[in-house]
Amino acid sequence: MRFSADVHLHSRYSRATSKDLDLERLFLGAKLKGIQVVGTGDAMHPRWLDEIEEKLEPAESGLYSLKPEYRRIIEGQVPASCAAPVRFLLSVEISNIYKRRERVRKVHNCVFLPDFAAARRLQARLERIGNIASDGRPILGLDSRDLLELVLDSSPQSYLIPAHIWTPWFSALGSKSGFDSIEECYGDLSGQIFALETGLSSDPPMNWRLSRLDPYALVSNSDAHSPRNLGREATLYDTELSFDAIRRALADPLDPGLAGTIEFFPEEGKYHFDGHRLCKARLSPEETARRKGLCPVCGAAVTIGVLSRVEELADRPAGERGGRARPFTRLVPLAEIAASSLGLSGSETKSVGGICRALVESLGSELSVLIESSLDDIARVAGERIAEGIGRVRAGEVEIAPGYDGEYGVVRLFPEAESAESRGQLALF
Amino acid sequence: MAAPFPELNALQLAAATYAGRHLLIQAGPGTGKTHTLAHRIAFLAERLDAGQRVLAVTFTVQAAAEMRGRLERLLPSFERSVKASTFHGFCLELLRSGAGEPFKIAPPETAAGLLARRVPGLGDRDRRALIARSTLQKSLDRRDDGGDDLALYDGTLRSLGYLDYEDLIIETIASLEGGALDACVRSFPFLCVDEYQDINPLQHRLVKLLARAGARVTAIGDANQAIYGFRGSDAAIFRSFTEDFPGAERLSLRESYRTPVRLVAASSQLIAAGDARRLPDLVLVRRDAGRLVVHRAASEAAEAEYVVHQVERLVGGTSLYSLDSGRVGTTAAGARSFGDIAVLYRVNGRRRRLEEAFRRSGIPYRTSGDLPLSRLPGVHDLLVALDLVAGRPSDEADERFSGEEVRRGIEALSRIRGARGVPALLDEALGMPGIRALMGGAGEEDIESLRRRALLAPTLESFLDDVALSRPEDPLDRRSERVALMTLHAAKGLEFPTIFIVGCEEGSIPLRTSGSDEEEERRLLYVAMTRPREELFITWAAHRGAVSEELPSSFLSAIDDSLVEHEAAERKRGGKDRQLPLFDA
Repeated sequence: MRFSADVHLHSRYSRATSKDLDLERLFLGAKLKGIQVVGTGDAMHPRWLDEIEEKLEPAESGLYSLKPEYRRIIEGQVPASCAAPVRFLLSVEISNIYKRRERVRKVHNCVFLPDFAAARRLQARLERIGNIASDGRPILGLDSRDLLELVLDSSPQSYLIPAHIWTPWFSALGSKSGFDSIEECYGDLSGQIFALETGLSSDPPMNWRLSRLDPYALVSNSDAHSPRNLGREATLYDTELSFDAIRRALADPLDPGLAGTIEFFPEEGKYHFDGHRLCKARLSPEETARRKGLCPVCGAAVTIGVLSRVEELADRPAGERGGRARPFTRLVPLAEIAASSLGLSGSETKSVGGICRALVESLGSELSVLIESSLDDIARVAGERIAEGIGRVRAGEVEIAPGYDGEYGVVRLFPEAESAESRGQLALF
Repeated sequence: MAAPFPELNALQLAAATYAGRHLLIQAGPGTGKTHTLAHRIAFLAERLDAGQRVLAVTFTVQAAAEMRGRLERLLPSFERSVKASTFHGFCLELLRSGAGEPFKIAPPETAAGLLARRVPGLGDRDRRALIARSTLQKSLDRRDDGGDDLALYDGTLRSLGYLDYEDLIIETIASLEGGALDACVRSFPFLCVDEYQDINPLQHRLVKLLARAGARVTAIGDANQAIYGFRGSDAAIFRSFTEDFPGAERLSLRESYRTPVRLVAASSQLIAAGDARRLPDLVLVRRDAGRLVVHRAASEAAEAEYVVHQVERLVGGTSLYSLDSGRVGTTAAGARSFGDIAVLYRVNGRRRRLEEAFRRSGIPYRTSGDLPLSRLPGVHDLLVALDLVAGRPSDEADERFSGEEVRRGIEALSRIRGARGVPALLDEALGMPGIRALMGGAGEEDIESLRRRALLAPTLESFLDDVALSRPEDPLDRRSERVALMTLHAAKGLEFPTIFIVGCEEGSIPLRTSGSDEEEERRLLYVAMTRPREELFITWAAHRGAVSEELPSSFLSAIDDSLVEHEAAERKRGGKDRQLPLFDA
């Protein structure tokens, strides 16, 4: 069957996350967004794992469903249009901070576990070497390679995917504290790495520019810190609904189960370009090179973003396809499209919420609205303008001021209208 | 001819290759003490006859392991030519190889258990005081003044077949004096003693005994770093070396490689303020200033938060996913990892607030001074059972193992003991449900640690001895980096890029309790101040508890203000993320 999965996200036990993030609301969020396999996130946190064990029950092999008594609490809020089942997969992101060859490395790793026994085994090992109870995404002073060894020890099916591999501060290939290759990061065990998470600031074509990434499956997840962001990126499968089938689709290059990814426009990611946030200096890779990596405002070295970093390591021209290339779809979250279409600056307003709800209730989950619904149907529910916005996203007719140094990129769907409005405002004064 | 050790400087080389009889090496902090000693040992190892070894005595089991690691790189076959061990480890091996009475070892924790059973009237506090007094008397080599206390303590241990750590040395001396001396010195013609400033009179007697019989002694250390007077160590022994060992040479290592300029200056001022004659004689090799920050916190809790905040800054942001360059800062911040940092305190009571703050932050940390391996729950029970298997009964075993299943297990193990190696015997024991049930509290890593030790043990007795002298260790522990929280004493011999010394209030450092020695407290702070390779943060809390108003340690006033960056309470949010050094004009 075809299904979408978003397995890197966080619970309310992680730092800086929404207090809403419990399993019921993850279930609801996954229904509304159109995600069939959702990660539990934070599966090493003792209280969260207890909660997971209490509220979930085994479904398909290695996947879990919300027990009926908990489903009942939330089911009233699930529109009939979002009937697809939701399964949970045990997942956790770990922040590895350690010194290798005299440099501090900070790498985030996503770990996936086939059952509670494996989760408890890994938990027992990790709690001896770090503090897993204070943050759902625990910080360990453990080499990524050694974490991988513990993961593999927990069960032969457990696996690890390097998280958002290009972010400058916390990733395997990041410019600030990463490595120049996956092999360098995971050493003798790098053969056990078979998939990479591309993160919000990069998309598959950027990754295809590195032939050394050809052996890896490219996956996408939301890394959501609140239910709202669930499914903003996701991975599509066409295989049996089970932990093993998902793992096989990633691990075996000949398995046809990996169907593609849902992507951000990479420019919207927080680290696409280079620059300094506090100096409001946004630099393209070319500008950075021209300025020898220095900030035009303060003169210090800029934070090198994902595009520059990819350029640095790339060995193929842009436009060529990589080894395990799969189809991908670039999307903008529905709330942002609605806000942009209505000329609103924020996407968390009541009217935007109302439009999104109406679309989902009448046409189906957010992903199906964004990808599948006919523009006529959308226009009928939400008006021509929003249908036009979604049409422009589907056609890739999007103007984006790229993100840099921790600042999200800004999407503009109707630049002609905005400039007209700002002309109007000028005229008023 | 090429120099034998091109990696040594001239003074180090002179010390390493000294050809005379006895040698004392004065080695200030960061002057390459261990490095030089390792080369000295390698040099001596080349001068042995067949069957002889250099005896290298270290202060701790860990230091012995580190020495073996260094020797391995210098001398591929060092195992044949060097015995690196603590005094206790050496004596234990000597006693075990002799024909004396069998015995078990009682670390203080075990002794407390034995006394609790045999002398029921004694409270916990009295019991610990009794053990401390008794072992101190023995360390000071003043057993004759031990009185009833010592008689009770020794009598209890001996009647149950136990020796404590000091007894290992006492019995060794007795055995050597009883005729084994010449053979011992023939086997170990060279004796090297590390950390000689912390040797106690009992150990001193053993060294002198070996020297009188012909052993050549190399001692290395730094009188300014003597910090174990409270345990019977005597820095005067360091100073009297040339009298104790006639004809001895005294050499100094002077180039200080570890410590940056400001910290050499500040720590030297601290020593000189106590006694100008003890001013460290160091030549600065490093040209960089390093950092010395003194921070006044409003309270103990604020102090702990300050430490955690600084650690996070030094590592460059740990708790957040998204960072920007403004948050991390553009200075040296972000260059450290957790293993680069240690937080030191004078007394263990200061640890609680720190641990709370670290736990909240999620930053991984470790504390040293945990229970010895033999006292861990579960492991201890296994060892008591194995003592029975080894034919070493105890009260505790009688009390604990009344169950039929355990009895049968122990009998079965006793029957196969002769026929199996230690690893197989241990596996057999671990496979018995009765024994396994005793070990409920034991962690997988503890059991792994026992298995590794079993692989190295020729006999069951040597396995039990080894475990009695060991601290728990976990290979993962060593691989995973954590901020180290430890006492000033535990920091001896270690170095870190970044050190925090917390609790520098008057009355805490120097600690004012009965029997505390201000000059030893000064040396203790000196030891701590000379641990960092890059930067030192000294913190104190202006208020502790509800009322008390605290002052900074009087020791700090010895340090020239121009060396110090002063920091008061937390800067305002959004303020510049740099401290302004206050140079006095």
